[in-house]
Amino acid sequence: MSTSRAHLADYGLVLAVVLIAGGLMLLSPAFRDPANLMGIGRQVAILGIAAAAMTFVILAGEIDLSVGAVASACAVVTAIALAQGWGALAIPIGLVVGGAFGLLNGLLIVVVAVPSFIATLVSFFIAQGVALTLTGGQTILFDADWFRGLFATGSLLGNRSAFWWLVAVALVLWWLLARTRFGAQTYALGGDAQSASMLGLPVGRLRLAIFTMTGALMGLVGMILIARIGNARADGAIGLEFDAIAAAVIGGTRLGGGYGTMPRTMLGVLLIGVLNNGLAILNVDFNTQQVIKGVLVVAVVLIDRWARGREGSA
Amino acid sequence: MSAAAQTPPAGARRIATLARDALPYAGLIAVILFFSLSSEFFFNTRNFERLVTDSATLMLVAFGMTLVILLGEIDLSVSAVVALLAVILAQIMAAGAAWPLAVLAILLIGLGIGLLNGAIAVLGDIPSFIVTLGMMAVATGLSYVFTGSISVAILNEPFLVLFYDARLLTLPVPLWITAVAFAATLLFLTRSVPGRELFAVGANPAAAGLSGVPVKRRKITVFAIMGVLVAMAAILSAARLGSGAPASVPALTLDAIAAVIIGGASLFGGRASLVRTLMGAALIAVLNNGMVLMNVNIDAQYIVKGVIILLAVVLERLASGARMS
Repeated sequence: MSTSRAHLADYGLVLAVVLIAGGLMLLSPAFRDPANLMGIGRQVAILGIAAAAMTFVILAGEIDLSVGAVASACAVVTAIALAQGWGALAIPIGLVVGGAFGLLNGLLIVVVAVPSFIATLVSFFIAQGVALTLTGGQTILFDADWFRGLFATGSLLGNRSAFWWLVAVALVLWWLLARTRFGAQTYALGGDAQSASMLGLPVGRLRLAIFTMTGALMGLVGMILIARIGNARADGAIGLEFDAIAAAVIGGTRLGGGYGTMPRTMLGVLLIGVLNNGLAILNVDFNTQQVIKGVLVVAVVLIDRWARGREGSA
Repeated sequence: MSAAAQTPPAGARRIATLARDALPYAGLIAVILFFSLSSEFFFNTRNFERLVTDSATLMLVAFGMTLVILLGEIDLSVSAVVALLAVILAQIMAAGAAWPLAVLAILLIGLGIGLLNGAIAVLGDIPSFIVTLGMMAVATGLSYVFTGSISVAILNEPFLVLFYDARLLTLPVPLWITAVAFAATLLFLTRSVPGRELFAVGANPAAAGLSGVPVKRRKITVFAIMGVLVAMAAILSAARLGSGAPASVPALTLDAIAAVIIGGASLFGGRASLVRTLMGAALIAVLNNGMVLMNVNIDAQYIVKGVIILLAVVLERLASGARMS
């Protein structure tokens, strides 16, 4: 029995993606249109990058509730830099702002020993305040076709640049996680922080690196966001943290750390992307989609707990 | 970072403890002084009455959040649930139900949502932040679905008067409700056995369990209490706004957590004070009120609050002798 449970935990997600995508293909000609299927790839770019970063954070046994607010703040700062005519300088500015928020998270967690959900809530506050104050509730317009092409609208090998940014980030983070010492230490840290520390792993530096990297990637997310729509709003990426956690968790990344992989998170991203796209085509509105996602996340975590229920005693 | 980790010296720790415990009081006095000196509209009875009435929602939620954080848990769903319950309340009354019936229904639904949060988190052994994050998504979504994204007006005059304008012994009804909720929660926490046990459960659940405290039941009870307080907050909020409106910004959740943290609660559970939470919530309420009076860009409030929480968090960690790397 425990084998079948383990199989459910391992392959249930693939099964779910196949079933949902298959069902939608049968139900809707608009969904199975190849152009639509390609479109899913770029629709999930922002979610995918955030989920890839969140996978690192969760694997290390932490959580980051600030990603949506930080990405929004980066989007606003970058858009203002572009609107001021600073050109390519806007790109490092966006990345540095994101990295700084990530570093703040890391310092609070490592130096002040604050639980990550509180530390990142502080950053959430500050980033949201920065974004709202800078925009004054207005939408920031900018005019930079090169920027939009580079981060979202440009076409390459049949898909948009936003999609290729996702591919690049997912591949690099996958490589980091699966092939480098940094990745191996992240697993060790999330598996058992105390043992990792006793074994002499640079636990503090690892956490700092993971949160700073996540912040910088939120800079990239902010740029893709504004490149896609051509303007920036203070609430542009609010709620992204939930979708990113959802994708990672649906992909089987274990809250508490130590267990999960990048390809599985991408499957989780694909599931949410297919679900959002399919439900939108079936005229299910955005808010109902939120409800479905909320239930789905809690259900997946419950099933995961159940599937490994006997692990300890077996 | 590794072997170099040290506990701060005892003297520094004592000072940090003093600062932590004084923060909500000193902070409250400081902001009151600041706004009294900088705004001619702040220091008068009328504004104080408005401040108290407007902050009742935050107070009720912060009392519940104190219990939740005392257990080492968190509830991120409160903003969304308050909005959802206010929407349902408005719709029940719009459908012609008498207000006592509507209020009762909201209290029961709030209780149900709290029980659900608690049961899933405790029985499913899932971190409460993920359960309540899920609840937040569900409640936000439902509030938009139920209303079609527009606010539902409340035209029930007796309801609006009773829960916002009415006075009892010269004081506004929302103040009475807040006071009663505070007294009841305080009595529960400090004078009842289950309440006292919460400190043990928060400090060390395993040890509490071994000493015979029904840990799971206590935790679910706290989430249930939180649900009822959230429902009360929704009722007052609906009466104040005269409508039930869907909302997507979790401002109330953040303010409530801020109030508890400013009140010096341990972020890992086991230590919290309802009285200091009250001061923390008052500080936040005065900030909200004063910044509006001074025409400060309302958005800058987030930064100010973020920095205050930051200060509170650092003091709390220093005071409890956290290992500094």
